[in-house]
Amino acid sequence: MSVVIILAGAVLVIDSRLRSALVAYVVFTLSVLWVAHPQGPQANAMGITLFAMLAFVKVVVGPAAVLWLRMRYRVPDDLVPSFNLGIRIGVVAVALYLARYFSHAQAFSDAPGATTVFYAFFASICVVILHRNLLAHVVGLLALGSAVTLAAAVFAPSLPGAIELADTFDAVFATFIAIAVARAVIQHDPHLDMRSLRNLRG
Amino acid sequence: MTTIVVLFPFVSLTLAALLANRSMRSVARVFLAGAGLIGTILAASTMDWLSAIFAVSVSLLCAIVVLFSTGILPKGGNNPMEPWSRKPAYFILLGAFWSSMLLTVTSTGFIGIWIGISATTLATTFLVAYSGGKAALEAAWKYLMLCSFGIAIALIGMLLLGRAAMMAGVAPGQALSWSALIPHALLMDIPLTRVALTLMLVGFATKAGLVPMHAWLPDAHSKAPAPVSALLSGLLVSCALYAILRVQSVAAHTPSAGLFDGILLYGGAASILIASLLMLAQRDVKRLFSYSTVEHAGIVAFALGLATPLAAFAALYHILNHAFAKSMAFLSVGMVQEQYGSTSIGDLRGLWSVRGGRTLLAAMIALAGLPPFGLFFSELLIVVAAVQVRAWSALAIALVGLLIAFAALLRLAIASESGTHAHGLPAPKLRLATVAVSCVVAASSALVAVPFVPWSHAVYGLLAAMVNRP
Repeated sequence: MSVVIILAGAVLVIDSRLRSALVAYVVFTLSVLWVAHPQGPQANAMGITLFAMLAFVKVVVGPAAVLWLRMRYRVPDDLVPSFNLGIRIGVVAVALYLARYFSHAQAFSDAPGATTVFYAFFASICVVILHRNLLAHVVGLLALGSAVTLAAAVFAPSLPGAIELADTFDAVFATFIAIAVARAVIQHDPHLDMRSLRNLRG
Repeated sequence: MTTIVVLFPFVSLTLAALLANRSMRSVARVFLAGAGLIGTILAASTMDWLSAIFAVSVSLLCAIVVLFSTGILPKGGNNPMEPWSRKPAYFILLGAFWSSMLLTVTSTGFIGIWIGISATTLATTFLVAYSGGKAALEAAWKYLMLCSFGIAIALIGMLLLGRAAMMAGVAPGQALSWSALIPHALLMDIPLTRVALTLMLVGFATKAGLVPMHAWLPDAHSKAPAPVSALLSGLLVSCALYAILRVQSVAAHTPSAGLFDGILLYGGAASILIASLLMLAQRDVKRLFSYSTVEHAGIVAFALGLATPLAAFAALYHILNHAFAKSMAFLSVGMVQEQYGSTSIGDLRGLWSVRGGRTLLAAMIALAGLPPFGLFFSELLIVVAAVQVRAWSALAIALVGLLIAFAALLRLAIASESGTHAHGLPAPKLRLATVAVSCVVAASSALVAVPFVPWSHAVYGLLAAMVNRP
């Protein structure tokens, strides 16, 4: 499953089309949920219900909201990358290298899957940094929520599930708020390009 | 009891928005804000000292801001396109903001703090974007994105801390409660705990606006309506610093304490210096005060980094003084803006003779760290604590920063208070706003007495236990 997460993360960072990014996000999140699904004593009715809610908001509600904005306001499919394809591929390679480097630290020596967690985290941040379309930032925010879910499953699987649920709802609420703000930004810039929001400096 | 107190502001201000009569809504808001404050004071006895102090401060300032906002509807609202840009939504979001800050400061574990801090972001993004202008939307976007990523980093740190705690034998349900973590701190895996605490510090420092994670703060605080700016600068930053204080209470009992304190000390000193340099370059009074918030957050971080009981007490005292002084500054700017229609330093002349102008001058004196305001005494205590531990290099950076900030505020005071204002200023009804600002001035002045009241010794003892090494 780590390979699927790494490939989906790479598509999120490299591809410049919103539709591809959303598909990659859904694959990325489904893979994360596969790793994080309740097992052992946590696979009780409460745990499974919480997990089902978590999966629904992550896989269905979040992407549906982004798609709604794109279709309702005819936002261009282009995520407007800030750097060319070569650099974006290089960034993925660097993210993978850094993830492997950090996961070999003594603190994570007994946490198999730490590389994938760090990679997922770096990839989510890179989606935001490398693209200028505000919807790319929203997808990055959603992906970050999934990365945190993965971190919870790998690093602290026995912590209360309420933590992941709180994070999921935080990510989804933040997504809805971001979409509401993006909807207002459309009045000023129909392309939702971050360049139009760079006046407050100094 | 605490749950009711936490939920009351959001629920009551939401219900007040449903009232049909406009005057009734205003009266209900003021009444409910007062009830929220009284409820918090009554519930404070069930909390520990630190939570009680923060909770009462949060409710006092929020009640004052509700009073102020009832008197002056922030400019730029009522955009028919956006439901969040209308007056009822403004008060509902204010209630949500109040509740989320109370949740932050009354929680007994890091999860509650995290949920509270993340809820503040969700509640205030629309408040920052309230005016609906392009600049406000830009500020709201940066605020939402940077703070969401910041608190995600804090959450990953918490997960790692939970892992370290469970490996040390703490029950999973207690793994993120500081009262359970402290006795097990020495048993926790050192590298893992170090990474966890650093990530938590970085995450909460983003929300506190410490350099270099401060990029969102000047934009959000300067573009929000003045009463919201007062809460963002006065309270939200205080809540984030409270979270850092709680993280430090665990860090102090681990072998990573030195690293943690070092990051705070030099991060704080850098924040003071960089923010004060940027204050010199500002042409908008709200933006200047926003950078001043970064500077004061830096002062608190610097004090916490000194890690002595005196410094911790001074940090807490500084947080409270700053909360009231900065609220006084922003609310005064709100009154001035109502009359001048601008917050550009170039447009503000002769403030001494207009409403809000004198309290703005008082706020500038307080923020510059001059007597008789409490910030003078808290800064003095911090310098004494720094001399005691011989933190010379960090102290030198901090003192240079403080001098520059003083110069920036002095320049603003001379430019805005002197001269004569343009004739024909509008005379809006500022009665309620004046009462609100008077309350902040009174509270800010009363804080001078804090070190002399008996319960401050109990607080000192609590903080000493938190920062003292085992």
